[in-house]
Amino acid sequence: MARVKLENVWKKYGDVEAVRNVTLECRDKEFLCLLGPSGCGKSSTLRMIAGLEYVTEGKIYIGDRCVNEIDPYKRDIAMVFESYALYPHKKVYDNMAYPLRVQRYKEDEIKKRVGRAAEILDIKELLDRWPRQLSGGQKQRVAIGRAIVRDPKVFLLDEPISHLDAKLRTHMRGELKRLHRDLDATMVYVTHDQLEGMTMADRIAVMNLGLLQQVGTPDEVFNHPKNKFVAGFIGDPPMNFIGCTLMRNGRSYRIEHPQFRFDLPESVTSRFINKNLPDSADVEIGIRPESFVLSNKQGGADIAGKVYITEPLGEDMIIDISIGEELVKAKTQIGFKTDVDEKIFMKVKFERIHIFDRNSGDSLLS
Amino acid sequence: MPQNVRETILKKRTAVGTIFMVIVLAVWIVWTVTPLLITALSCVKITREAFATPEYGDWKGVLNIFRFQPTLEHFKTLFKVEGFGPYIWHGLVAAFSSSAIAVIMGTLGAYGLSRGRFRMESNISFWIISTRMAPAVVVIVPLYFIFRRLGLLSTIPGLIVAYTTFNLPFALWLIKGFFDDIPVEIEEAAFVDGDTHWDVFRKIAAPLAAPGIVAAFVLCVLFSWNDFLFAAVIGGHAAKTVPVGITELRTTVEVLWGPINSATMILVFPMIFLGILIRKYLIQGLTMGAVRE
Amino acid sequence: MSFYGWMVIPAAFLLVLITVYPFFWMIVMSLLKVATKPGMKSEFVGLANYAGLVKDSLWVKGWVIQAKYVGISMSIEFILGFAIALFLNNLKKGANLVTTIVLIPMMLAPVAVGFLYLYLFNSSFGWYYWFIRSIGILQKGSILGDMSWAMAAIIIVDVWEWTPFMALVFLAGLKKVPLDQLEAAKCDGAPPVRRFLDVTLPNMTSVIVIGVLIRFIDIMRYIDNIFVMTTGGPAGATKTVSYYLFDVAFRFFELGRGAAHGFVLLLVIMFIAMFFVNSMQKKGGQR
Repeated sequence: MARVKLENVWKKYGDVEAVRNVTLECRDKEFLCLLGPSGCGKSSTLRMIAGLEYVTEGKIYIGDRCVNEIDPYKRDIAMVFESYALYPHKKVYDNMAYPLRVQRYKEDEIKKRVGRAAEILDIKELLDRWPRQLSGGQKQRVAIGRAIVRDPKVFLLDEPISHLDAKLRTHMRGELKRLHRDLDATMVYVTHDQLEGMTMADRIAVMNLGLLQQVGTPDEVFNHPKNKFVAGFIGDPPMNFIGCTLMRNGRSYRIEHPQFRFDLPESVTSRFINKNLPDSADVEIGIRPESFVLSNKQGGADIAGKVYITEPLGEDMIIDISIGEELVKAKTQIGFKTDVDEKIFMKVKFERIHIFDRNSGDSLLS
Repeated sequence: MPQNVRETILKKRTAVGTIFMVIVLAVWIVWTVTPLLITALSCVKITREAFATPEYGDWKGVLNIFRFQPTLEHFKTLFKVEGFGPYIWHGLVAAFSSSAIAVIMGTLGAYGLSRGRFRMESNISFWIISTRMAPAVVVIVPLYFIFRRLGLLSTIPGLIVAYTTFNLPFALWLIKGFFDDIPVEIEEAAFVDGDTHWDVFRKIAAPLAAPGIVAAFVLCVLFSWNDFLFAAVIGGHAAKTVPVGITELRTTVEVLWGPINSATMILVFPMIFLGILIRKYLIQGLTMGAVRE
Repeated sequence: MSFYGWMVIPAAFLLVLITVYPFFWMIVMSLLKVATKPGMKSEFVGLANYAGLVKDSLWVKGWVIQAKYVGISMSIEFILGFAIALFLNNLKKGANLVTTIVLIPMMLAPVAVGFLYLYLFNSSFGWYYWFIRSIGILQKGSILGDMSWAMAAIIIVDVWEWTPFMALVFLAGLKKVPLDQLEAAKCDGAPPVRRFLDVTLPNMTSVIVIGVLIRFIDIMRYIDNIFVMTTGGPAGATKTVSYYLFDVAFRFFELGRGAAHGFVLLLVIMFIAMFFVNSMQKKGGQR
């Protein structure tokens, strides 16, 4: 196993800049998730690590070796493809044995390794079948199996579970995380599903439009997003953003909005006090649905609104609330009694509030 | 590392391979074009000049091939003395008519075969493929026999029917492939909207399959125009086409190379043009729809 | 009767008429000694025509020549075609132009091609003859009049005309090899040659089969080249069994014998074709 390091890596397709100046490290034996929406450059980045795409500028290291000029088949990597890319003319056993056969392993060693991988992935009964006889989930496990029979320096996974049905995806998240632990492997994992990143990764690298937005542990990106993009991308239901004005009032600050206003406590203001903000700044406040305390009664509420619709979720409930022209989602327990068009009152859990500059999107909180 | 330096390094590694590749392709292109070039040059030279090859081993003398006085006398001979005009006409008429019949019938039939659920479908498929397997001579023998009885020998209609024997199965098979490619859902949506079967065929299926239908037509014309055997046996004297006409320019007494080369050019160049026209569907057409590009 | 049934009827009717009917007649004719002059009557001879085939040394010899012709031509066309396809696939610029030029020979009437090369191989004024003499391969004599050279010339012409077909079919097959499988093989550690053998070729099996099959069927059918260039000579050196069939049926005008001859040829082609397709399907594994 080895670490993967990207230094000022760019990928340009003609005029299109798919990956822009990315400097990133996946430490040895770390599970790093490259997370972002379609077109953010995460797949291009992964493919450059694999060697399937040339690096336009910058350097990529696997271990201590700069691999820019090295062909993929010499990089000692293993990749799991989104489309599984199984060899249709080989049986499952031969698919998994292929990387070993290429490296001239002896047949009994191959048998041992394939058997072990099949055991881990629970596909022993499938070894004699043809790929076309397999279901999606089975194919995906064979693809993973083909990767783990070797001991590569790095595992690269490109949205491996995105084509599975929801239940299977949930199951595989746990299996993949367990696999990472059992193999003690360096893994770089690409996905657009923030839930996968949050549940499986040691660290998440959030990307958008070719740029690295933030790299951090799931806790860091969830609780301390650096900008509006990261804040809005992580978490489901997503964070609510409301455009407001941050007004200074002597040594304290207030959030002002046509529909509501409230003072910010010291615990919050101390985090941006040294930013030299003007007396009146255009901001967006970010409040996660879980960060509201809801009540049917006015008493001490920060924001008042009207129920737009309720979305029951088993044990929880999401209530869509209209505040003037805005619509926010708040999460509460299923027992909360309310109805459409009823008045509803929200207290904000201030330790969880986020404030972003309305123009740049950067978080004002350090 | 600067970008241009990196790409240079990578290019050097594959430079040798690329040079080899380019050389082989260049040689192949020269080898492909040479016969046509030589014939094209020859057909506008007077015979003496066309026959003038240098001494063996005189490589510089090869350039003489380009030094000549252009003349159209062979073309004149072709049309005035040998009467090739009608041959061209016969070929065109027979080719276009047969292709039209094959494609019209074929389009209707292909649509039916594609959308209908016939139990006999694999048998029909097998039959169509086997019509291609039969050596032309095999088909011609009985056809000759039948046509002789029906008095169709040496007639243009006879030639048209003869051409249709290979054009129709081909068109059916090829066009069926194009109809198969059209998702049924599009047609189902139209049915739900109230269209009749014929409407759906006319307004939706046929237009979508149009490129394939055109390709099939062009290929049928190509096969018919190029055909020698059917025209020789069935076409006889009164329905002679260009391929047959060319062979007659070679008698036991003399071989009229000037007119032969001119006629070859007439035979060949329209088809090069047509081939380029349907380039996109060429391989699909020639493999009877089995291989798509 | 459904709408689709009605649509099929005209084509089906015509198809039966122009294929089934002649086929039926061919079988009938093969059992007759067919009348050639008006006034004569055809007489039934049973399987005599078929029996006569086996005793006919020219027929047997024709198969030998056909095998040589088909074997050598198709092997060269396969290898050259594959090479050209590989190169065309790797060409970044100008692929379109080059491919268009490459496909030209396929579009030409086989008769025309025959005359092109008849002219080029001519001993007096043929530029290819000049070339072959100039580089010293041939010291004297002619090409089309020489028993071994004539066959070589026919093969050269066939290669010129039909290698493009194989090349374009293989090119289409190459382009359809799934990119992700190739990439997976790269990541699995397979070097280029290995990838070609393990991923590219197996994915091309069906295309290769089709290409070879259609080429085989066509090379057994077309006699235009031979007719123009050598008419089966010199001394029957290029008289393939297909050409012999033409001779029997339309030069000797023995239609009955020709029909029997043709029927056997058809059966052989079908048999070989099916055998080939079946064995390839078994070998390529399940797809």
